[in-house]
Parts: sequence; structure tokens; C-alpha cells
Amino acid sequence: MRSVLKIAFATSLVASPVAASAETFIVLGNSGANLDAAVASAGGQVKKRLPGIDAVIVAGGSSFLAAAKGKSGIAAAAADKKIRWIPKPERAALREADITNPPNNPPGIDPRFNLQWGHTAIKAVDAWKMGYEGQGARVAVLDGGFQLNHPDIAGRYDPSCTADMTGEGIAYGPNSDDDTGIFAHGMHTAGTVGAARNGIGTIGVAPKATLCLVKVLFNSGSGSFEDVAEGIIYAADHNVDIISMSLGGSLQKSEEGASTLRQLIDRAVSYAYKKGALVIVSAGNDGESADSPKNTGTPANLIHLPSDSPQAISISATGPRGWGKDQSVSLDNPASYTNYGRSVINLAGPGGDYTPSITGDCTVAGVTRPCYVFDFVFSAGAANSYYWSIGTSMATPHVSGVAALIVSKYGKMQPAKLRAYLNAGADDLGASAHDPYFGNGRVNALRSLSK
Amino acid sequence: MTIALQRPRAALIGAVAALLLVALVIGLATSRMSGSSSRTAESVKVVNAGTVSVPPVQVSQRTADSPLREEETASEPFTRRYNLRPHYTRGTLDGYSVEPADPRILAGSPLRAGDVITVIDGIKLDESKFRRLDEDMSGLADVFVSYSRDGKVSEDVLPLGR
Repeated sequence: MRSVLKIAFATSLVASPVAASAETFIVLGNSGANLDAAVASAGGQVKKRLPGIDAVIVAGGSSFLAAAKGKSGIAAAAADKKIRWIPKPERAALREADITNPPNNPPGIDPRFNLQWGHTAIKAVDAWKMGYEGQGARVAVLDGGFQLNHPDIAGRYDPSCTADMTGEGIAYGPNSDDDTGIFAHGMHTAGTVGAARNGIGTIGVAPKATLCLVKVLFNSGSGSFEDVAEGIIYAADHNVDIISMSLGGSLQKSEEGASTLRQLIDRAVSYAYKKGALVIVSAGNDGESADSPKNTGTPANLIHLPSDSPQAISISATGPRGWGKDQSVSLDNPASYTNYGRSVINLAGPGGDYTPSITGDCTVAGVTRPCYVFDFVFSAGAANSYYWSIGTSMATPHVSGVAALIVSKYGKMQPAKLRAYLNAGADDLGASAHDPYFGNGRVNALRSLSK
Repeated sequence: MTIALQRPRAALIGAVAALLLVALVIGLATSRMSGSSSRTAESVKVVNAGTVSVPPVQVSQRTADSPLREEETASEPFTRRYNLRPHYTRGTLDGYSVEPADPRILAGSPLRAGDVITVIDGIKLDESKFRRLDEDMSGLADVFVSYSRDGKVSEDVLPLGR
């Protein structure tokens, strides 16, 4: 079988709505307000309640917003939007034909583990040798669809905190973004956090952490603000320690309803934080600096959610260049696509990079591919498969996995303390103190567990 | 002859008394118009127009039982809210001491005046971190701190009122 290489280019996330829902509205209430009465008097009907954040989702006609304005108890209201939250990045599938020589692995190491350079960068194995593999930690992965019976994910998640918010069904399948049914973004991120150490495929950063798989986006990578907010609340209500969100949407501040949608996500993230969950979010792949931006993406005009939420920590990406040719190369170059800026980046993690100037084929751990592919991050896909991809989406679950390792050693803790452990252990790369690319540093599991 | 000399003295005394009375009346009237009274000194606003290089200072005092409003404290920059001062041990900067002008800032907080914050949010509180501190703390609901008190190091979560 010929190997198939799918390459796609990252797209900007400053997107106009895929399909603005004129009939679904987000209504934010003042604290303790009776929103049912206010919504009904404006001609709307409550479809769903988000009581933890004083919000409701409303079905209404075109006149609802005008009628709702000024109603007692309503702080803000806006039409919900569906936007693209996951870019279509560089990615490449692993097929059996790519494996020229079955690798000889020592016991306890899954056969594809030696493709996972990210674990070396963050010293995950050193944490495992200390006896900490995420046991006792609960990590919610909010993403698109999942394959629940994948050999590296089955048995790793808790069904009681695994759910679909979109109505599409939790299973990943072929879609407008992926006709192969392999490139399941949610599987890749969940696998990086907690794929099983079972002699099959890959190993997650925290292979004994309990995963809560929450589908908040359609398989194509688009979704509504309602579903994302509801997913955050759902995860928070299920006693998770960490919420890992490899997704991000940008809105122009001047865009109609932007302020309300931002408040919705901020309220949800704040709710999760108060419930004890540290929310870890990807910074985005636009290659933009929030400190000195170019084009139209200025801080004055652009909101990036949920990474702009005050209680969320925002993750940039790092990666090697030419790891397929030489495994001693630096793993910590700021990725060419990562968003950055002292004002927005908190920490960095392995997200991989794409360097087309690296030519030729390489063989690593018995797998032969174009050399540049090995600089990507390797993890689980759907259809029982695995694939490589790059992005701050890949960096974020590495950081979430390290957070789970910290919890497995020190026990459940307030998110402020968990954030402090991540910061304390991070390697202060780049400019000292707070670097625009690395933030407080690239996470280091060994150092965080040695505090 | 004596009687003639007494008449001018009496007139002089009367004139002085009249002047004093007029001055008293004018003084009372002025006091009423300005509305200030030395008995309510704590409510006096002192406004210093300042010099070119010194900004105007407005001082007002709350009464003893007026509470601090959460929104007032939460929006104030962190370093100013806690009035952080560099702390040295044997000539080396080892943190910043908490010296708020209003002790009510520390109500409900694990910190006391005089505590020295040595690590904040997992980062050593040195000059470099101090320069970024207001920006880093902006928007946070709370932060994990290590602090020294009477030679003993403790750790706790410091609520930031957001």
C-alpha cells in the first residue's frame, strides 16, 4: 500500500462565522436574576440553562435581541456564532507500509514511543522513574470527536465524565476537513495527555491519568460558543483537575456580539477555575505577536478565546528542526507558526514544526518518512491509527500531561498552586524572566516534581 | 479740667469695642459661608496644587468603620495595593515586604504587614519579576505565594478579589 501524505496549511483563525445562528442566542444574566421571565417577555424561549454562570441559551426570532435589550436582569445578549476553532494544520498519517523494520523495544516501552521526542523535551520519563505517571489526576480534554475503543484510549477514560455537547455524537468520522477518518484532533490531543502504556502504539505524558473526553466541536473542527462554554462547565462539574483545550477562536472586538461571547467564555473559564480546575489553552498558530502585531490582528482589535480568559494559561509551541536526521538537535526552537508575546504566553510545550528545507527520507524507530515529518508530534488518530501533526494544539496536551504528573505526586490542589508548580519547574529559555516565545519557560516534569 | 480729659478716653474705648464687635461679626459670617469647621477636620479635603514636577495630591480619609470596596482594591495595581518594598538580608535582595497603608487590605488574606514575599506564582520575586508583577497579576483571581514571617517560610494562596 502506498503511503499517503496529507499536507494542509494552517489557516488563520480570524474567521467570519461559518454559519451564524440567527435563532440561537446567548443571554447573560446579572447575578441571581430571573432570566426565564426576562427572556419570555422578550419573546424568546430558554433552550438550555447554564446556572453556574448565570446564562441561558435561548431560541428566538430576529426581533429577540432588540426586545431583550434593557430587560431587567439581562446583562448582555448576542446571537451565538459557529466558528472554526481548530485550524487545518500540517499532518501525516502512519501506515503499516511505512514501517520497514519492526523496532526492537525494551519491555515497557510501546513500539512507537521512540517517535515521541516531546517526552524527552519535557523530561516525562524522569517523572515516571520517580513513580508518577498521572495516577489520581483527572484531565478533561475538550475537542472534536473521539474513537473510544482505540487501543491506546480504551480503558483510559471515565465514561461518567465523557460526553458530547454538539449533538453530532462523540465518535469521530470522515468529514469536510478529513475524508480519511484518521485525523481526529481530539484523539491526537487526548493521546498526548494519556495514551496507555500497554505495549501498543504510543505512551501519553501521563499514562495513568484519568481522561474525561468532552466533545465540544464538530468533527470538522468548527463549533458554537454555546457548546464550548457548556463543555467547560460540564468538565468543571465533574471534578477534574485540569481542562485541556487545544482550540481557539478569534473575534474582532468590534464584531457584533463579540463582547457577549467573550463574557460567556470568560464566565465559563472562571467557573471552572473556582471549581478547582486549571484551564490550559493553546495560544494559536497565526505566528502573531500580541505585543507588536501586524496586519489587522492588533490587541486593540482582536480577542482570542479562550486563551485571553484571565484565568486560563496560554501555551506556545516549540519543536526541533531535523530530528529525523539527528536526534541530538535542539528540541526547543520556538515554532515558526506559534503565536507569541510577553503579554499572552504563560508557558511553552512541544508542538512540533514544519521545515520544508529539510529534504530526503529518514528512518527512525523502524519508520521511514520524509525527514521533516519527524519534527511533527506523533500521537493517536481515529480508525485505530496514529499520525503526526503540529500546532499549539499539540503543545497544550504536553503541558496538561505535566500538570497531571504534578497532581499525581502532590495530590489535588487549588489551580493557583498547580499553576505555580508548572511555572516553578519550567526551564527559563530565551530571554530571562518572561520571554515572548517561552513565557515563564518550557515545561519540565522532572523539575516540577522536584519542588 | 479732669472731666474734659475723661470724655476722649471713653470715646476711644468705645470705638475699639465697636471695631472688635464688627470684626467678630465678619469672622462668623465668613466661617458660615465657607462651610468648614475645625470640628470636622477628618472630612477636610486638602488639595495641593503641586509644583510642575510634583503631581497634585488629594487626601481624603474614610471613617473608621467604612469597608474597603472590593472593586476598588481589585483594580488597584498589585504592587501598590500591597505597597511592596524591597527586603534585604545581609545586603542581598530576598523578596519584597508587604506594607499596605491601609491594614484592611489584608483582611481575609494569609499575609500580615511585614511579611516578605519571596516567591510568587512559582517564580522567585526578584527585581525582574517585580517589574512585571502588576501586569502578571492583572486579572488573576488568586496567586500562590511563599512568604517569610519571623524567620519562618510559609506558603498559601492569596486571593486577589476577582
